[in-house]
Amino acid sequence: MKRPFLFSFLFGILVFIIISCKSEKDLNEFKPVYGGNLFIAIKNDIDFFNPLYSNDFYSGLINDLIFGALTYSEFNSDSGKLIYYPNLAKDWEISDDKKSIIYFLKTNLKWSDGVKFSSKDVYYSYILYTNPEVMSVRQDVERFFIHDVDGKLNPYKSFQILNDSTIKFNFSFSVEDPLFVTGLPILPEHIFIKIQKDKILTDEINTKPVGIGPFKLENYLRQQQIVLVRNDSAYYDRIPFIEKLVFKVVPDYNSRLNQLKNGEIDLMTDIRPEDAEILKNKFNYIRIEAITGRDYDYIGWNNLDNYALSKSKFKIIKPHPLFGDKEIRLALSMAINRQEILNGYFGEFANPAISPISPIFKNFLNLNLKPIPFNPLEAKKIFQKKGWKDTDGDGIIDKNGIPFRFKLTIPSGKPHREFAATIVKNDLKKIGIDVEIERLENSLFFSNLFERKLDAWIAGWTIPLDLDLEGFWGSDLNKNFFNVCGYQNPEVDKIFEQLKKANSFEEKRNLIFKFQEIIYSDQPVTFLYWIDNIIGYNKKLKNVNFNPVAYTNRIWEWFIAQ
Amino acid sequence: MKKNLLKLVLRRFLISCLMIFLLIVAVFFMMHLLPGEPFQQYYSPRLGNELAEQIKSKFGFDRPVSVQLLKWMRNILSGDFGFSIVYQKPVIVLISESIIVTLSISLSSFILQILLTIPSGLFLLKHAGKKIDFIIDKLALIIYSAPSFVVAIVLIYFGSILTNLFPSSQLFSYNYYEMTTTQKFFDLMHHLILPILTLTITSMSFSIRYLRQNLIEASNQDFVVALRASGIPENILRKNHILPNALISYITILGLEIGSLLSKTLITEMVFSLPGIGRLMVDSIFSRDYPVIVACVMISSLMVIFGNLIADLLISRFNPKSSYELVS
Repeated sequence: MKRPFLFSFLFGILVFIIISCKSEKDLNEFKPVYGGNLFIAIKNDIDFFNPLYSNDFYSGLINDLIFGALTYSEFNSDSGKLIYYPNLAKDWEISDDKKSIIYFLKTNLKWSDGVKFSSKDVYYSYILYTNPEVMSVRQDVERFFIHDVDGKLNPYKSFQILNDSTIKFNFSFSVEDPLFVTGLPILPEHIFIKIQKDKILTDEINTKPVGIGPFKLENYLRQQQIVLVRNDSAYYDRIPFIEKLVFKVVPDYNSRLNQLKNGEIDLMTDIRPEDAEILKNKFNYIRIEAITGRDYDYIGWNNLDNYALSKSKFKIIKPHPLFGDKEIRLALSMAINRQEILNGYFGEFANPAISPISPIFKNFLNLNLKPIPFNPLEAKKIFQKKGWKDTDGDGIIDKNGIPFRFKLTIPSGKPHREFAATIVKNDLKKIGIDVEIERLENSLFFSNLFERKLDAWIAGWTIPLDLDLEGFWGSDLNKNFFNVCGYQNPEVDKIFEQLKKANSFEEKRNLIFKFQEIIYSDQPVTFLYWIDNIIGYNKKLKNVNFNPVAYTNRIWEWFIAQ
Repeated sequence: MKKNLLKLVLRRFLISCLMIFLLIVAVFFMMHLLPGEPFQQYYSPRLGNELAEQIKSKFGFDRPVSVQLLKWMRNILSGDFGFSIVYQKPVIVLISESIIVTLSISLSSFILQILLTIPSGLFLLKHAGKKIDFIIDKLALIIYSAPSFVVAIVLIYFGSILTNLFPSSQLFSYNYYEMTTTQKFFDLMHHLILPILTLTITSMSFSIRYLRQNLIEASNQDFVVALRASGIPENILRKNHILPNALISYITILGLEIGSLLSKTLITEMVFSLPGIGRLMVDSIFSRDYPVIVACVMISSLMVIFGNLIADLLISRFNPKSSYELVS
């Protein structure tokens, strides 16, 4: 009995020594060093240096580096949940009924102009976010807080300053994730209090931010560059290794790619799969990583008769003559070979989509649902059952003299959607459906989409971290503006109502499971794929750990090897 | 003579004002007819288009187009070009920031083009019919037929990717704000060499062929043949008689070139990520930033009209007879 034990013990020591030696080597090789500049290419300029209004991906990213929130969150891929860490707050207490949260703030922090950070800043930030006069893009957060009988938010009851370093948030109902609701970036009260609330949108503060974050703005040149310099330890307690972050605005994709290749930039996102392969194989100083995120593409089928809808100014709601029947939509999904799109364009950089819940949300993904199989024969049978047959022998199925012919609209300049549209057209042609691909300029495409003028289209959405999907699938078409396919199901509405009141993780999970089952069976759209964000970066950049929340996750831990 | 010139300038000024007015009215209405919406950036799944409508009304874009046009015209008289919906900045600030970039690239390339075209034209005249003339002529034809972005990409490939001599984009180095004025100047020059070369090469591809043709035609005119027969040396003939004659039509082309320079600058600015007026206009069109579009159209039309006026004045200077024709 002793010998195996001794053997195991010695073997364990040996393994430990080997691992230790390796770690020691890695540590020596990649010893974190302070200094260096990191050049990141971005395709468009920042909209606002102000989280009240910034609504664009890069702007959110940059603002998160300048303005800190009470907590810092990151997505845990293993648990499929958001994990929160202290940031401007050192600790917090959530009440048992989840109707309030108290934050204990750090007392050693200062704004980049030297003014001390306090609970007044937190209080005023939420006053600004929730005040309609400010016109913040995040004003919807007010729905969680306490309202008076007249329906107006009561800020005194909702946000309570307990002392200089303690603040309490009170909700009007039990909130499943209070940390998420109170996780908005904090703004400096001493700056914003001087600006009239309805004038903030046009004030110059939107280009001269004062914040507390790992970085502060050093230089901004419109349409050229945003230079952030690391914040001094006297102001913020999380000091990055990298001295400066230079965000270069390069709108042209090929220019960004060339700059990554010749070392003018160190990091680039949204690399096309075909280029990722080239970079991987031919440029040994570039590392390619892909993050499965929250972006999916789908084929939208207008569930409602858009002609009748617009003619009657949203009064006449009747099913679309082609896509109004859920069985027809299911048959369309069956007739499209999604795997061919994945293999042909994305390779390893996308995953098939089954529902609007990303695979990264492991706890909320209903694994009982399997991808709708590619089965054109079965699809053809469904069409025949529904009366769609080629009666005039022109190769196109028809019913009551109406041929199954439609325009599939795509926004121009998106090669993956171009590719998908071609596959869809060819696949549907095989079962007797005539598809004409229409390309529209981006702004025009979205304008037509939101005005519900399109019959079928390929687009993509990013799903929110809190999985609040009512805006995309709720039946009230006036309220739920992003429900562009006109999907209506009272059962789903009921789930959304229940989700608002759900205060436990299990309850939320069960409801989201049920929601996926209904969406799967109704097929309001054909879900195509979850697209990975392919990031290429220079290998001199070390300790990088990308996260679906933001690729600049824990950027203060990144360093540039000397 | 002076009276005629004054008449010409006055007449052109009045016509230009009318043209700009009509153009702006047309653009203003066409822009609002254009599908698309400048407030899409404020759409969100939770707020829908509510916030967009609120902001639209704050900026007065919910009013009838004619009311907006009148308000815009009233404001323009007091020098107010309006407020950019996308950038949330006064349009005049955006225009003044961008116009400097555009003018510095376009004027530099314009001057460089003249400086290079005239001696090249004379060189080609001297070697007319020879191999070098054929090669340059065909090369210019190839460049002229290619879009200017192709020239830009070729220059980026050789000047930046292959040799790493010049930056492939941006106006300055990232740390320009830490530089001295002299360093800033050289840094700017370093960044602008490729864009200026792109514009110069594309413009020259046309003007060099045009000037060459005019020089050949002028050299075959009767008075030149007579002068040549009287024994005047060929170099004096070229300099004093052939060139001035050929230059008249070249100058007209140069005037028109000012207008087309702007459209070429537009593509160059996009490829090299330069914050000029061309890029501002393209971005504004895509984002439907109405006040910026109108201001950009106004500025670019002013540039074209001004370019043509300069060309006319230069022609009347070189060929006084033509000023009578222009006035009549």
